[in-house]
Amino acid sequence: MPAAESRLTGKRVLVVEDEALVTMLLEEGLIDMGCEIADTASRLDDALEKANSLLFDVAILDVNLHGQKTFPIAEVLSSRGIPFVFSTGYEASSLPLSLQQAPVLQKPFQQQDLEQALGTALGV
Amino acid sequence: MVEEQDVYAIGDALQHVAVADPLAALDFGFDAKHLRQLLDALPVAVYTTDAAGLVTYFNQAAADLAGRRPALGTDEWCVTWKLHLPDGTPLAHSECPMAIALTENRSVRGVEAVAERPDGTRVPFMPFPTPLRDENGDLVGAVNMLLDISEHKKAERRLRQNEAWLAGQKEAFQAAMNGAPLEKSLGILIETAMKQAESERRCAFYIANPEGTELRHVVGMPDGYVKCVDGLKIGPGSLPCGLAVHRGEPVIMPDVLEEPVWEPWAWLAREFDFRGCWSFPIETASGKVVGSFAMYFKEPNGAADRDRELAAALAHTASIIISRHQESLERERISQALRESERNLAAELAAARHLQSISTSLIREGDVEALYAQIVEAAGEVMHSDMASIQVLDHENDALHLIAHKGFDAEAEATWRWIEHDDATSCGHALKTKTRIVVPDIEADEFMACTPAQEQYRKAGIRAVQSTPLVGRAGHSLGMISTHWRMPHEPSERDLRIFDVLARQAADLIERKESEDALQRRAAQLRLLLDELNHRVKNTLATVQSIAHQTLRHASTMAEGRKSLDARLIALSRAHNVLTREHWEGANLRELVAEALAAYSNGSGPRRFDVSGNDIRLLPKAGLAISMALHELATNAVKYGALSNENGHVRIRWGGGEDAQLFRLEWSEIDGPPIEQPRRLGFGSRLIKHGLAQDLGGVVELHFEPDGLVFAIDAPLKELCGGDDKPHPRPLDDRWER
Repeated sequence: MPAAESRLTGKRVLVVEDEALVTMLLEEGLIDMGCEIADTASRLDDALEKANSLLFDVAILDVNLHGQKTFPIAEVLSSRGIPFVFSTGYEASSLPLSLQQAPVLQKPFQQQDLEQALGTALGV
Repeated sequence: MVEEQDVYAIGDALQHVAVADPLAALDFGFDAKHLRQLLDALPVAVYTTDAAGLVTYFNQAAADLAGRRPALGTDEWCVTWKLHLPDGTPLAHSECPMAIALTENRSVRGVEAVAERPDGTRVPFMPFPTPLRDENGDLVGAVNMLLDISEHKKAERRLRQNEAWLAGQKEAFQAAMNGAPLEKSLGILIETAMKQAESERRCAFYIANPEGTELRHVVGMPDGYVKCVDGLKIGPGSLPCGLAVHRGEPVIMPDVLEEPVWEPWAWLAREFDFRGCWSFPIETASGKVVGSFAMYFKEPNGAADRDRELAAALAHTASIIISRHQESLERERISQALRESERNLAAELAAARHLQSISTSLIREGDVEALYAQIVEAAGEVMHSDMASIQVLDHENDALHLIAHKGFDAEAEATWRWIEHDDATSCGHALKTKTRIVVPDIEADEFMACTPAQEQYRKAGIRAVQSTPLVGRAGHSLGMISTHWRMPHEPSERDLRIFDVLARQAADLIERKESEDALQRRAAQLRLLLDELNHRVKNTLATVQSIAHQTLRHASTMAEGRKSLDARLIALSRAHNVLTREHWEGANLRELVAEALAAYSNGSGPRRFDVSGNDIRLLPKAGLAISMALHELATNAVKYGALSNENGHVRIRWGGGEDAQLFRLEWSEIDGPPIEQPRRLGFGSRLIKHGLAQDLGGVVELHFEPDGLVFAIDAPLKELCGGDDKPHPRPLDDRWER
């Protein structure tokens, strides 16, 4: 499916997700929206390193990576001024207070949910 | 008996006779000869002297009184042998009233003297010396009459004695009325009796106990004697006092050394130096014998009337005093009992109110800690103890845990925070025996002696302790409630009764707290479980979404897409079955492989799979990923590979890699039709190449070799199995070739 011109075209996205099938779904969805995949990570240390070093516009963070919370990644991103979206199967209320401002993508999701969450995060 | 006025009349007549006044003598109707006869016959002592004081005449009565016959014309002044004044001072004859009458020529009246006989006996008398004169009035001699006044004296002494006795009795009564102890009031009686005693003696009072079985010394005897006889049994075989009380009549033993019953006590009589022993029962007006009065004589002594009289009077007075004393004791006892019961009632009422307020709190209050503190406080009040504590039984450790206390210092609190089941403390013991343990004095308790517990109690300043087990409604142990005293103490039945109500409340509270806690734990577990379930379902749905999305996207036709989707969802579902069987804690790779290949290996055809590898447990996530990869590989083999012709088969092997920390799984297709590299990676290939690599954190090789597809994954064991403590897979055997 050719990528139609949209508000998210050309945005570089870091995908942090431990479920390979979900990563694949996100990748495909993002590409469909005209985004570029900056990289993917399924492990916390890997994700932290990438969050610190890579250049990208926005991140999608699975709240739970193999039983570890991704909040430290969120902090790194906040300090770098990079917006992010949480993706989770949990309730949004299980996020710490300081992170409840972030848009939340509830799994499973529709394409427009993903687009809206990223749009909100990026303010576009 | 000659009256005093008669004596004076006779004296006057004698004066006339002495002066030889016949007329006057005739007035009395006597002549001299008759007069002489009359004087001789008089029962009163009469004698005369000449002017020089030499005795000229005495009658028989005078000789009797003097106890001698005076020598006429020789004895001077008086017929007596020796003279004394009433107070016992010797009186010279030359200074006696007769001598005064002669030398001073006057009658002497109203004096008394005491005559001493040669045999030593003494007679008090009253002299009436009168001078005799001739018609010219010259002194010619004197006449004296001696009146024996011993009876009079005796009566006088008895009167004085009676007065002293009455005064003593009055004093004793007054002392008793003023509330003096029996020792004091009966002591006064003894003092009075001793003052009047004519022979050497001791007097004592004994009082019977309320049961009437024993006598207790009240007053009179020295301590050494009291020690020996106090608690003397009342009965037929007893010493005189016990015997007198038993019989209700006097027991007189003139000489105890002669009495067989005294045989064992003879040493006592010798040591305390007495022989005669008399005992008189003391009876109340109603005839009840309440004690005895005893007299001990230095010399053997039988009872004389006078002594019996005295003893009877003493016993009577004593009975009044003792009765009064006992009545007042009884009154005091009753009023004390009344006060005590009033105090008890008030205390019970206060305790009941306290318990009620705790009950109310138990229903209302949510703060369990505050309630424990309240119960401990109430325990101290109800039991009048210095300290109190409440412990809860920790079922895991089978030990008592201190949850609230009153009065422990920091060290005691630390020492008793945990009490083991078999500790020698009272609570450890009570826990083991499931009964209340009371130790009224830890120093006197055999069970405590020389135990570390005893030392701990000493350190904490505890002398007495009580521990009551707290038992649930179903009869199981919940904990312990204890109270501690600084001084030896045995709690009363009443206190324990109230305390048990408190213990019941404490047990109910603990039971309630335990079920509330259990309920909360269950609720929290359930919440956690639901959250986890929700998460898993959402993730699974996301996975399914991804599979559906990509399957349909890459499908050439709707029918093909639907078929692929069905097959993938079934593969996913089969893997889930394996995991669910293992409660999602892990899965055996061998089982997962068998399950994934089951759909392709059925039928009667030749064996298509050659599977080898040892048992290895995979994490659920790794298990799912491998299952899905195997499904894709098998589907591909059926469509294009080794399973698409008649002869092809697949070798599947797994085991340890080059590194012990690595795992390797290989899939190689043999004897299939020639294959070629696909132009475009389909979903299946992507799932194997990227998805599996990501999920296992490993490296995937996928080669479309002309003679068959070869797939291998190398992944860290840790990612597959979790911890390092899992058994390492056997190394792949060397025959394996890529």
